Amino acid sequence: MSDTSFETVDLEKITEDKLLKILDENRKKALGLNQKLKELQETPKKPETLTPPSSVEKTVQEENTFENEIDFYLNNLNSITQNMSEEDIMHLLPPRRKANYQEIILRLKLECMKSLRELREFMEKEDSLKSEDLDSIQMGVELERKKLETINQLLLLQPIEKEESSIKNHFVFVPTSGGNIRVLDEIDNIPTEFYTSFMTLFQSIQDGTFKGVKRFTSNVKIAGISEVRDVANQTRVVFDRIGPDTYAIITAFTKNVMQSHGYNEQLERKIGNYRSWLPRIKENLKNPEFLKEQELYEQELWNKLNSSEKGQMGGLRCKKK
Amino acid sequence: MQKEIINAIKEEQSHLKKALTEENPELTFFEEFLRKIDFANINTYNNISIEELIMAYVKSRDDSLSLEKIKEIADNIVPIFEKCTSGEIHALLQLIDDFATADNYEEIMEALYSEYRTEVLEEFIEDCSGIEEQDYVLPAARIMEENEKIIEFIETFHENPDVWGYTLLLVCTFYQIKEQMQSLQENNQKRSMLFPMVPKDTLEESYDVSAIKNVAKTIPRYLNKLRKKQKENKRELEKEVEAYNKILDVLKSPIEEITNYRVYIAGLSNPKLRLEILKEIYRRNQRYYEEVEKRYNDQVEKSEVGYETLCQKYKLSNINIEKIMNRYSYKELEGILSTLKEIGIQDLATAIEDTSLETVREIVGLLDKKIISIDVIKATPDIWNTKKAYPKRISDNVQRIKQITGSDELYKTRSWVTLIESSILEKNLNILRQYNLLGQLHTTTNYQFLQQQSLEEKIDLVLELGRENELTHNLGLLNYESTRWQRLRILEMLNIPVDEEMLDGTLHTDHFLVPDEKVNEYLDIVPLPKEISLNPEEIMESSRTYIYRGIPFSKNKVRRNLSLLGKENPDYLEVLTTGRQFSQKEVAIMKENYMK
Repeated sequence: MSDTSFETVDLEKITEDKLLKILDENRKKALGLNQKLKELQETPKKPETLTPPSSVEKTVQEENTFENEIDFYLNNLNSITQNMSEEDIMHLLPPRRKANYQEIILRLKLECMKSLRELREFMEKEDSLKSEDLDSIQMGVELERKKLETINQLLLLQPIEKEESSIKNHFVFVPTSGGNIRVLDEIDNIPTEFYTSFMTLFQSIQDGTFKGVKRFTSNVKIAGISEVRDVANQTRVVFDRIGPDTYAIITAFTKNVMQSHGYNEQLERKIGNYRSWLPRIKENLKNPEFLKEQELYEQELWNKLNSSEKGQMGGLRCKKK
Repeated sequence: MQKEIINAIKEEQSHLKKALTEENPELTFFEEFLRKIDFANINTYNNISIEELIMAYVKSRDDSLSLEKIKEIADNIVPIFEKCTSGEIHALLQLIDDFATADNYEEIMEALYSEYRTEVLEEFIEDCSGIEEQDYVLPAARIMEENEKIIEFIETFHENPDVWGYTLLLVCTFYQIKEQMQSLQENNQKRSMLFPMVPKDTLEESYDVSAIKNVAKTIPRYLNKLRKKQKENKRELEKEVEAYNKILDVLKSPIEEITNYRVYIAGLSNPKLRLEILKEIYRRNQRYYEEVEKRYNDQVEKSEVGYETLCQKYKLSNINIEKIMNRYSYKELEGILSTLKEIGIQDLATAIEDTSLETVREIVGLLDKKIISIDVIKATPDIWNTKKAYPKRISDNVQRIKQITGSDELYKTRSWVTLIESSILEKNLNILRQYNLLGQLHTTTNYQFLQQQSLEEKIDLVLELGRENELTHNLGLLNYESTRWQRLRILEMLNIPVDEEMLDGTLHTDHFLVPDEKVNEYLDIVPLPKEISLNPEEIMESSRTYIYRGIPFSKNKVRRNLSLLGKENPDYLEVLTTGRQFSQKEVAIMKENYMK
């Protein structure tokens, strides 16, 4: 509110001149006040004014990368069969030099224990099980025990202190519908500053550490396929396990947006393309020529990725696979 | 006050009206004088006295002298003139003029006032004798010798010789005319006796009065001047009376602002009354201004503009003004905002969503008493919400805390605990007391657990996990969710020990082998087989647990089980084990060597 105070005086000792001056000043103030009052009385009531702007809440779900890894290795664990060799089983489990190896293994142990308990509870609960069902459950129990035993053995091992490439997975490169090797074409179109990141990703598939691995589960069209990710650089390599130590490399790309309509469609198309090639690929897994060809592609991949690294490192020889 | 001033004005008016009716003695004199004499008509000259002539002429020439003063002077000299002839008066006039206008006037007057006056005058006579031009001296000096009043008159003459000179001239002329009139009368009488048919001689025929008329013209002029002044005065007085009437009308009318006060007082001659009138106008105007101010404030309070201005003052933008106007009166809103601002509340918009001045004051009162801190207030935006009744809750909780814990340490340390719902706080404090854990409140400063719904179950779980000691060392461990505590079971399953130093870290980390929401899926909890039995001799105790083969059981839970089961002779096992989860390992231990 404006200052509407009117001057007051002690009338006892005031002179005529001073009193006239005060009367003049108060009159001026009253004039102003009456004007303001008139304005207020004439001002029409405004319609409802501003409402607080609705804040758009962005829900960002934090990805649990550990759970993604567990999902990946659990899927591997679940593919273990009774007849599988120990070597093959080791290929499915994380390498000991992986940073969170211990955690993954302990979790996998818990998963096995959980499965065992569930089977046991099921058997105890269901009184009227047929014998073939009982046999099936019993086999499941034995399989879980086998997995558990393997894990327990691993837990007894000392952690590895230095780098060891005990695992070396193999790549099979998925062609496009036109017959080109998709990933090699894609690498050519990706800026070279991302090559180091892609190098890391491919190496992690090869050594079994599977950096930032995540299995696709939400979309039926791509379910079961996995990707390794460098979240910081937003680089991804999509792959699928097609053998104990063999991985189909489906596509590689940089991704800026977590969810984008175009990205999902593209991915579905590429994976769909892969699935169409899969039977032929599996047929050729024992074909030495096919495998040799894949090795050449792999070398080409490393060469491409290394060419950037060489430039960055000023001409030093990079690691050859 | 108003009555007094009105009376004063009326009194002043009556003085003025009286003045209007009063005669002007000076005017009356001159009117009367010129009614009696017509200077053009010599026959009227006898109608006036010489004193009157002197008074009229001198006054008409010199306004500084009052009529009374002139009369006084005239009364001193006229009696002397009465005894003289016109010639003698003329001589006297000349001598007076000589003395009064002499260069050595002071000396002359000194001599004339001395005891040697007679000698001085005789000497003077002797000096002037024989000089024809000064033959007036002898008769004049002789008159002077005998009449001291004439000496005094010389002084008067000296002050204005021109006026008094002409005055005496007129006087002399009038005496001359008088003498002539007498002489004419006598002659006419004699002639009429001898020659009755012969017309009588008249004064007009023998005397030309044009010179007298010329000299005396100042008298009628003066009368005109007096008349004019009288008219003017009358007009002024009437104006002043009217001015007072206007002031009276204004003062008697209903309270309105009086703006042309300068005009009202301009025509008033009484300065004291002018000031009193202004004071009364000031008082009236102040009452009027108070009313205007009130109307303005009321209007502001009702108007959107007023509320908007107030909100802008407190930097409240994006606020629903209509809602605020419906919720609060202007004064209440102003009070709320100023109080909140004073204590440093930044988010005023949230605070005023649904509060009241009373609520605000209650909370500030609690703040002043240091029952609640400003940090807690700022961290609890809905503390101002009247519906939530926080002040009552806080006061009730303070009592509860003091009553149950025996001190005020709890809320002095962390005043936010007073915001916990009262029933929950009371319940949890009593739970702590039952578990003999009130004394451990000092082991933590994080009392979040005091607002948990299932604190009892949590404590039981912690005890059953064998962490009684850790709990007494750090009561803040109760802040961890039960699912976090179940991690210990998971780690036990994996044969991973967790000592006291690792406990807090294990419970605290967000990253565990298993997500919290899935922990229960991985626990190997099994039902207790019916065939298990207990060896009572193996039951040991700590202060809060029973321990059977290393497996802890919460004593309070056991007590509750006793009352829950309601049996007269309850089974040991049932009482001990009801409500407790057992891992496979624990079941195996209990089964060992002691089966039914």
